[in-house]
Amino acid sequence: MTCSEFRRAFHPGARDAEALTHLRSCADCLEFAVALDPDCLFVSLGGEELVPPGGVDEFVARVMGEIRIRGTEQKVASIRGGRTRYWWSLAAAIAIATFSAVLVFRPAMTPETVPSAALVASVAADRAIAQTIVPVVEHYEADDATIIEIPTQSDDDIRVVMIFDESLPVDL
Amino acid sequence: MSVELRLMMSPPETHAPDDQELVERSRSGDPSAFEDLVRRKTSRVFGHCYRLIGNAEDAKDLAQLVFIKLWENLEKYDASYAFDTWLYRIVTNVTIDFVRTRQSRESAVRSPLRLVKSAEEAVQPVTFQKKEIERIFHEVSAVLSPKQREVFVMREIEDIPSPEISKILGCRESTVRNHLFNARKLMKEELRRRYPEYARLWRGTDDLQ
Repeated sequence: MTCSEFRRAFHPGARDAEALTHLRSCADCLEFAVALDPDCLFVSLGGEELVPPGGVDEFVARVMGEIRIRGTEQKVASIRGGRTRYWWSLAAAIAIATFSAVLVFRPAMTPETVPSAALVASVAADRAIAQTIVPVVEHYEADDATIIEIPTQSDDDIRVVMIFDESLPVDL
Repeated sequence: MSVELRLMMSPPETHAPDDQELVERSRSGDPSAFEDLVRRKTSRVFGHCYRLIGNAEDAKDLAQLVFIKLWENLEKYDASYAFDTWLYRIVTNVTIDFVRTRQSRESAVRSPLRLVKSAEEAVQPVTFQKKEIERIFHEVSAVLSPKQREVFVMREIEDIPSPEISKILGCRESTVRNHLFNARKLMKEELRRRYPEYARLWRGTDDLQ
């Protein structure tokens, strides 16, 4: 587009590609256009490739270098994160195992099941009394009765026998 | 219109992979593809940052930040959208944040100080040199809000159509037009205040009186 063509075709608000290209490359036509359309003054700044200080190659190298550094940092962070996760999971497993063990073995370790000295003495006294008492039922025979004997651990333990016989008197 | 202009200015290479292809290769762990993408977009990203900020070193740092954010968020890119729109969205977010921070910092430090050139001082001849217009632009555009400046730069200098700007900024097209209208008005007022020698050239522009 020549200057005369541009000036002939130009009108305020004109933004077609050819006109813009000419406007941005011809200072005289820019002055002409600004007189008619003040907005053209800053429109003339467009259309040129701006290059960062140091050039494109230096800029690209800088960006890629920074990205590599960040990539390495992320990898290191993820490895550290993995190790931390490993130790936390190990600690959690130990805690769970300990808690489970406490729950499982709790009945054997409760104060009720661990005999205290007073309780041992009391049981010994009861046992001595029981040995002096004549058993209520020494010999029993019945056709319809159900007899259950609770197993004992030693010979001197009190033998407990349950008799289920409807013919027996209630106050036996 | 802008697409035609870009094609006129830089003819497309016949064998060069397109943006989408480079993104896909970058996603699959090819650093050279991302490097190509950075190289291809450096001028546009840096140019936008520079026009928004007016300082080449700051613009360079911001452009670098944009590409790092791009790399970090590459997985989030939806290939059904234009890559440039998505890239510009990152650019505008980064630059708007920067401009807002700088504005609040400057207003906190030296809010009462503002140099306004008087008509008597305007004895320099009007020049239509790019460097001079660029300098004036950076001074005058300081009156715009970050959003107005974004819209002004994208529409007036980078020739991005309004519908695309609305996609980039995530707002309606009418909002873009509003921002542009207000930005043009404020720029003219500020230019007349600071550089009356330019305003004297305007003929028949009744909105300036």
